[in-house]
Amino acid sequence: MLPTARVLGVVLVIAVAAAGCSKKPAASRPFPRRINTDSLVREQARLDSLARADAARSAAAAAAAAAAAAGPATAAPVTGSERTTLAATIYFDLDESSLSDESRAALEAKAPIIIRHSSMRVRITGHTDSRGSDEYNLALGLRRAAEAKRYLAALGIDESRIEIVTMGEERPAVQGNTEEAYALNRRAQFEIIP
Amino acid sequence: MMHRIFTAAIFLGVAATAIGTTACGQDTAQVRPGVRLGLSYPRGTTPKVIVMPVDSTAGDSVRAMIQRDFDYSDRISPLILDDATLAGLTPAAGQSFNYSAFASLGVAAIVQAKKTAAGYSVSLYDVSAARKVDGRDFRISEIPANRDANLVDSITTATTFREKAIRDSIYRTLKTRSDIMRRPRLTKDPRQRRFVVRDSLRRDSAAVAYLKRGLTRWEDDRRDSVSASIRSTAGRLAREDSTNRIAAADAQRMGVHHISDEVERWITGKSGIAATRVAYSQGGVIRIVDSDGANDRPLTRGGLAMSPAWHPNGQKIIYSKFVAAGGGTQLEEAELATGRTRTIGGGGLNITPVYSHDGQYVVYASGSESGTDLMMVNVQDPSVVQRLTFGRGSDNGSPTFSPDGRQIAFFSSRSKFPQIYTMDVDGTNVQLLTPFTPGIRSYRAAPDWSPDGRAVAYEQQNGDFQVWMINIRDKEPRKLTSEGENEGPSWSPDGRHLALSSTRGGSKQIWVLDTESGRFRQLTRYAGARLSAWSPMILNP
Repeated sequence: MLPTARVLGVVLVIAVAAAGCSKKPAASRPFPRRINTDSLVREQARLDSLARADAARSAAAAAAAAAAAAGPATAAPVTGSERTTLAATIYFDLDESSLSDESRAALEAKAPIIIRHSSMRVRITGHTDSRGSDEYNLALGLRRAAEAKRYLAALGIDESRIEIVTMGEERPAVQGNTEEAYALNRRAQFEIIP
Repeated sequence: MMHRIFTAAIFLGVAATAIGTTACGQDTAQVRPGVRLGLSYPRGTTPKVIVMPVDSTAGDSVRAMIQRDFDYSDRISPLILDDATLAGLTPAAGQSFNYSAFASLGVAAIVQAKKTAAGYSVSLYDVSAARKVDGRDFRISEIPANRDANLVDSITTATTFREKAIRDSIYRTLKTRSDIMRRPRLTKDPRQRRFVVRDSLRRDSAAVAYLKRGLTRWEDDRRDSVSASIRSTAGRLAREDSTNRIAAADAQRMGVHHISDEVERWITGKSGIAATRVAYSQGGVIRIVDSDGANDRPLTRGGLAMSPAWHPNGQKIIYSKFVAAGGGTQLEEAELATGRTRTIGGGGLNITPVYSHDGQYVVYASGSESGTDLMMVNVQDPSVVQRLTFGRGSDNGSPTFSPDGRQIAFFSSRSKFPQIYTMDVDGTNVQLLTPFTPGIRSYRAAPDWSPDGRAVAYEQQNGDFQVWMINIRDKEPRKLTSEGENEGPSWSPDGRHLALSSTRGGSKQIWVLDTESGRFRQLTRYAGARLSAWSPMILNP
């Protein structure tokens, strides 16, 4: 069990307990205290994603065990669907490097494939939209790639197999100055290092 | 600035009245040597100056450049008159100026440049004092003549002559050898155990055939290689020739800018900034343009280079360059005169380099999985790297030195969104420079410390991005732009103008802003120009 996951779990228990407690006194007060449902939903989503991460981890471990049982020669070619899953781009919010639930799910789908192909090395490239300081955006892009790498490492992938780089705002996926274009450009891309 | 001149003007006025002499623009007796007081003119105005026609072949362009430099300085207003009026004001040979006529036009000073053997002799006349107040000779080299047309001819002649000489000499050698072979020779016959005379005739015809074949082949080879060598030599010389001519034209323009800056010092007491350049990034290439927008040329070729910064001697530029296929970014130093480049430091993310004031160190931002932090490296010994910030996972970058070299301003995202901080040059005493309200999204980046040390310019997001400056002493921010998006400010050496990227004209271009008058002028012509860096004064162009 990861330390961060454990801490999150504890925080969740406290948060849920606190939320539960706050309901009773609310009735006796003149104004009902508003329950922060947003944060509850978010915490639930977080909990779900943690559960999924656990599932993904055990699936990855199972895959690794199966691979180990099949023998040391695990040089099976990467299939087309595996390639598609690996290459799936993940997206970020404005000025954010934290992972969304979709991003986590995408990384959880990638992890078992990388584990199965034990000699595979992966490069993650962080990108930003065109707004803001060009120089700060280089650092932000690196932070996005690093965040994705950290999550993959937490899923059991050796850190030395993942390389991170940044292109900042220098290589947009989509041209244009619309919110849609910005959203598609705030991303991390994945490729197999040949 | 204006205040100082005003004070100087009052002082001069008082001095002039007290002593009872005419006002004098160069009375340096009571001030430190090297400091000039300039002419006297009303506060809050820019003095009107006439540049008289220059009598030489390049005179018109020299005069136009000086007038434009005055205009771009925002401290002097060149008065442009029509030819007839100007002719009426031009004194006959040996006569002095009709100062009252100039005074009626509101002219404060007259600039006159005369061609000399080595350059120009420039004089400044104070209209109110009705006399010459300053003057100096300026050396400006001539541009060498274009040799392109004669080049190939002369090389062809030279090479053909040489080819003939070589062919003759080889033919002589072969002839000698054939003569020797033709001689009958005694050979020992192993079977008959006696000496015999071999058939010289057969050997002779074989030798001649061999020689003919050899000579023809040699001539063919030689002809091809000679024409190839003519082409390559002619190409190389033409390139050298054009490089020399461009360099000479470049030096000549800088020479005229030096005249403008010096005359501006005579008039206002402060040197101008015409003899400067601006480096910027456009389409992945670092380009350099003169302060008046002329001479825009690429420094780097291919690849993707960003964030140029000038060496304090104005002869070198450092920038970060992307390495192909996931190799990160490296710092690269380029010499302007030769184009020679040198890589400083290793792989990974290395961005936003700046030189220290002595040029001995480079401070830059280095990124890793645990954030991006500022580092200091010795240029001569890049293995010595000192870490300056400990951002604990945040991003720190875009360093800029205070003019005394003791402090560095930079952006840091340690409080979520990037803000401008200052610290001592050893990394201690980190302080927030730009105030922000927690919870309100504010974003400030790209700081540049002014050469007079009083202010830091930066970009700030309030919906769109605009350029602001903050006074170091009272921490009072001031918004400088509002039209289009404006980013990446860089101070001129006079601490009054800023180069910045702006979309006010449609595409993203480098513009120059006069922070005192608010006047804007476009400096570049290629779309997508950004990340400008203003050079120090170019001393020896």
